[in-house]
Amino acid sequence: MKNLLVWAALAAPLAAHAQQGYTIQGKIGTLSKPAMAFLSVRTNGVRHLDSTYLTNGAFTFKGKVNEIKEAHLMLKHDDKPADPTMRQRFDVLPFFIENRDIKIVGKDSVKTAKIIGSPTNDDNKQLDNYLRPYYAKLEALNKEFAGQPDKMKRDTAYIRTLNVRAAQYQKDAVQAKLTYAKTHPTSYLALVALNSTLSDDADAVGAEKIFRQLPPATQNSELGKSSLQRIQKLKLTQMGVEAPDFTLNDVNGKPVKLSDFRGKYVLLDFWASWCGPCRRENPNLLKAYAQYKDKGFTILGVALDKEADREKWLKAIETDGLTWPQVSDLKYWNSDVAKLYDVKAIPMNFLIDRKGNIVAKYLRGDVLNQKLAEVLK
Amino acid sequence: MKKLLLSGALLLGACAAQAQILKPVKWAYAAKKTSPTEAVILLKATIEPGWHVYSQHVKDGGPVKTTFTFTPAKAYTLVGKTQEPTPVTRFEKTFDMEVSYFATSVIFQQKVKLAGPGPVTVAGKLEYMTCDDEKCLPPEELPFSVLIK
Repeated sequence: MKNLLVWAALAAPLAAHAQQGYTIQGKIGTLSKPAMAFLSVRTNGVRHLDSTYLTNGAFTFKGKVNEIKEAHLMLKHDDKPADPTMRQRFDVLPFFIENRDIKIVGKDSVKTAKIIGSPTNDDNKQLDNYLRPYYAKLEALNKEFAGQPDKMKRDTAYIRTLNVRAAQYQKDAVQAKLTYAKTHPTSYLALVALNSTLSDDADAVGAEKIFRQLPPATQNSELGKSSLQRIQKLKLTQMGVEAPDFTLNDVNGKPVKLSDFRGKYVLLDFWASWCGPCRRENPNLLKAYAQYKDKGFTILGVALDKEADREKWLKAIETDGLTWPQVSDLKYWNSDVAKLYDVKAIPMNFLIDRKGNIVAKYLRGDVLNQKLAEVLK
Repeated sequence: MKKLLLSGALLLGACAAQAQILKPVKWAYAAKKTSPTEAVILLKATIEPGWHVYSQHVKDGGPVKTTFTFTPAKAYTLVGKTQEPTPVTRFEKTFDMEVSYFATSVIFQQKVKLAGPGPVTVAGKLEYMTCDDEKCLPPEELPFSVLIK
């Protein structure tokens, strides 16, 4: 009986929390009306906005969230109407909202205010401190570049070394985030950190393993669901996996199947006639094609042009002198193949090996030539 | 509201997560009453450094131009075409033609004549595409609605 009582006592505050929702008690100096605080919470793409005047610095928001959410607390210090022609500067504090009694205390702004009584925001701060050195390195790189004389800023060799260093620092930052996610699975921030590493070249198989270690509630949260979706999409085109097969018509309306190129290295290249950056990359592709086409290499161009722009597509192929196979469903960004490969921006390409497996992605400029030299010795 | 990224974890937005949440252009809408029967609808794009939004008058054969479509309504009529400031115009070798675009920010303006005194909502949609030197993002179609008080 004694045991039961203890249990009840422990359970009570937990239950009360779940019922209670959140209370945000703010205290920002001694600001008063017309100073107004806004609380914005986004759920499933819909923004919920609450507002209240400050009285002697104090304000309160009450409500309930069904899970931890990103939120923004915004303070409007005066009642001047917003000028639509000016860029607006707000006093904003991004934070995580959870069903607890949260205090937000600041001297004269919410931007620099302290958040008290919220474990998730404590974790956020901890993660922030942990990642800061990694970002400091990237910032230092920006500063280094900004401090160079104009001549140096245009020096492509120098810019290349910068890019190499930046890529390494970003890799380090991604690794740090994954380490955090692995070692802090019970924190919601583990998911936030993991989600932020899901760029196009992410190791989706590795990310899924870490994801599966998170508690079910985190996995099933709104962000959890979208992260898993992203992981599953990335897995389709991850290096080492078989390239999803497809058939599209070429410029003469003749069907071309990706797997017909088995036995050759294929650069699957997404582009469009209207895409300047793609067209500017074409000379580089021409060079690579000329150099390696007799060594078991080809390019398959997939154009994201519109049905009405068939002529523009053909003209661009002719103007740029592209002689490798060109296919398109002329569905613009609704191209089924672009969806299949989760193409979010163009140009985008995938290098597929002789067995039909993806071995590299987004190869541009020198990087493409280096990679081809490596695999087509 | 540009810094919607959480200071800590989403500082990441600056780097690795970029591919996922690339949103270099943000739109805002407003209206300015210029007389009891006239108003100007302001459609403003705020553009991150390096990115371009294209003029409404880019000729065929180049990047996708920005277009505005206003929903017809009895409460207002459009006066003239949607105005834009002078864009940056550059000859692009890749397209073998001049391409006009906006960087940093641009305000498009549409004059409207109001049928009555009451508050009027002007609605419509815009389509735009954005590229930087490296890549192009899918065009976006955005609905908008602006209240003229």
